[in-house]
Amino acid sequence: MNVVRYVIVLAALAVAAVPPLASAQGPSSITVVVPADIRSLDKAVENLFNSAIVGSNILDRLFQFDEKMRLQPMLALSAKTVNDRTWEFKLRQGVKFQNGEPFDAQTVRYTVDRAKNFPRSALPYLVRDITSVETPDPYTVRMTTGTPDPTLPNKFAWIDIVPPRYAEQAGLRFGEQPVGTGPYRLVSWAKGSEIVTEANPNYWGGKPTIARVVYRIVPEPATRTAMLLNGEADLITNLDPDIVDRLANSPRTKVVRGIGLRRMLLVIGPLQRPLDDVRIRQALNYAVDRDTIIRTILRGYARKTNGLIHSIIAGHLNQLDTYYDYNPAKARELMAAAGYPGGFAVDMYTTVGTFPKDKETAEAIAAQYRQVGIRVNLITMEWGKFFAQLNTKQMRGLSYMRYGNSIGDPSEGYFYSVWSKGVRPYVTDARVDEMFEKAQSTVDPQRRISLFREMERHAITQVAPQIFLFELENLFGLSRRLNWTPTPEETINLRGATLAR
Amino acid sequence: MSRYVGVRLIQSVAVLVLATIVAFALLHLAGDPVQLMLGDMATPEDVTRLRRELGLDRPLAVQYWRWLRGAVGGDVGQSIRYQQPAARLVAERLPASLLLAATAMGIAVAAGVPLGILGALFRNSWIDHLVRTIAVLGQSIPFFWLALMFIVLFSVQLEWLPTSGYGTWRHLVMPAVTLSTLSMARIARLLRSSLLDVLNEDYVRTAHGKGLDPSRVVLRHALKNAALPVITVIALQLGAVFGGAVITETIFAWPGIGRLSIDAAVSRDYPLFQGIVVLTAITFVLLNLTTDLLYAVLDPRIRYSS
Repeated sequence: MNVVRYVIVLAALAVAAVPPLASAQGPSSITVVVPADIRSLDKAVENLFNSAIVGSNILDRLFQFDEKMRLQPMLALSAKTVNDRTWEFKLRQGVKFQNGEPFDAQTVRYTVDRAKNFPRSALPYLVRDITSVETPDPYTVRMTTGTPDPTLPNKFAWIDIVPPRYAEQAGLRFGEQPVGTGPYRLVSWAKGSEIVTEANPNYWGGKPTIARVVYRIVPEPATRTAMLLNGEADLITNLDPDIVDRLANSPRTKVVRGIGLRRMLLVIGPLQRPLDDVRIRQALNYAVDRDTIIRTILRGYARKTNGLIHSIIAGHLNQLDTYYDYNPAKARELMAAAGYPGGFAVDMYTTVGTFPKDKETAEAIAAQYRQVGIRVNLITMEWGKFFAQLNTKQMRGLSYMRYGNSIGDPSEGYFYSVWSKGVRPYVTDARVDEMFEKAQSTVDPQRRISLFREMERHAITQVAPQIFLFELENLFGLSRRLNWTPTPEETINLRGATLAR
Repeated sequence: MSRYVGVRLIQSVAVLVLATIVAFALLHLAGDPVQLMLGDMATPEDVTRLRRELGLDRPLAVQYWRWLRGAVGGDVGQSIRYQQPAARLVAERLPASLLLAATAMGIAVAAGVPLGILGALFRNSWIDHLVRTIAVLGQSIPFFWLALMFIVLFSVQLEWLPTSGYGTWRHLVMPAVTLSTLSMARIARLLRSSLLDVLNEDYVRTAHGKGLDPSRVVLRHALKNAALPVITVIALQLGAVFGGAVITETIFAWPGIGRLSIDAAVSRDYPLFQGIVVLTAITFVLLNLTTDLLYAVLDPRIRYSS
């Protein structure tokens, strides 16, 4: 059996020939893992958090959010209102784009025009109401809006500032070869696989200490975890709560927890009996044992809240966070008062794997509802279908869903729901409409916030427009050598990240 | 022979058209790319505007007809998500997929054929039992489980191979081996049984009777006849390898067609998905055609009867 011996020898040689794995990163290079493919780093083309993970480190914005979601200067130094409909921004001087183009007021003006008029732009919703952009001097911009817009500076914490000459000439290609004023510039992009960036030595905020950042695109969560464990990756996002202990206890890795902007809830679909009765909606709120769900399924990585405003955003009412604490007796009482003493049947929709523990959470809620006599018919659905049906009013009943907050403003939750001109106005309320429109045209921040507080109290206690659940924490896995603090946004801001020696 | 090829070609075109209709209908039933593109904050007006710009407000039949007209002219459409020609995107990802598929098939044949021969030669011995066990395992272990076990063992525990990615031969090992298991098992099983059939034939006994070296009898005389069904299976397995690549490419972050097709389906990128379906279907049809012709070349009975 010479052949057998030959094969064994060959196999042994092949194994011996495998060189030991070279350290996946150099001393000053890190690998960040992105969970889904990116098609464009241009927000006008692809307006998604996933792409912004990479893009936000190449491009800058006028403002940025800190770890408490407070607005801080970036390319703009200050913002003030000139009158109800006009904002004035003072810009940072001496900033240059990575291709040498200067940054000034004209740049901002161009960026707004482009966000509005780029073919199939995904950004008009942020800039539609801007009627004029004036540039009284090279470092001052005055923007006028059709109606008063107290959130205008917040919107410029999302819109990337682009270099006019290059962006105009590059067109659609800008998304593949972006040039910004940010701390990193693009080196190479292997489609579907990885994006390599290196430190911009002329960054206005000082040259980053990490010389090179590689973004790897890895859709499978288990693979991402393995990458962190064997040292191939330094930063992974969206950890499953179940994996946290493993990563926290491994000698190479650590877990960083951050406040997340994802507020989970049950959306109430287009109204039908008996959900059109506020007592039934209140009963549905009382019948969910959120503390148990958070403790068991989510392993404590969530915070119970009520209301439409996120708990770190001004306007949120902390004192109402326990308002709908688990109370099955009260739920039964309310149902009986509404004429449903024996309960009722309702459809509940959930995705599988789109949000952490989505199916498990929905199943737990369904079981708790059955305890008080609400017969839940649980339907699982793929995200694309779920999202489309939710938006086209096809989902009657309850849907386990996330509402985010990308502009750090209390108006966002009402924009999604309750306000009758919002995205999903399934449960509406005349008083909320009136208060919301009043708040949205109030520029004075103090007065505006107190209007939101008043509206929030009314919405929680009198309208119950949705089943309030909890806010999910953002969970990141890091290699021990990387020092980095998350901000609540789901992008990864690497300004200020350092490597331990 | 040429009439035979002609009939097969016409059948193939019918298969292609049918495949695109099914793909088109299924994706359209299940959602809308525009909602997914614009995200949470889009107003209904934004959605309507973009749908109109993309021609998605037209009736389904009209959309399909427009697409088909383009496809006949060689234009399989413009990806909605990437705003690039679908053919270009497929071409960008095709080399990675072909490399993976070819390597996996190579491994499957290189391991499956010797295993099949060993099983047949040492029938009912422990070697045969081993071969049959491997074959059953290879056919029943799901790709995703095997892939994750490989990663845990070779990347996390032993740190021999990178978990995922694309670039060097080291990145290729685990996905290719994972993807080869099913085909390897099928080839080994089929070759073993067809060899066993052939080994009982008179001419084999005659060859042995002549005093030929036993390994020569098996490799030269028996294998040639036993190989025919195996070739069919190899061709069909190439298709299966493309299918299995959807899972394997996702787990190992391999930038190939399999992952592109998932992205296309998830984001309801109809034209891109259509493009992938058409190109995959063409590959299948060509493979089947080649197998049939290869049959004729290898087997005189088929050649002369037509």
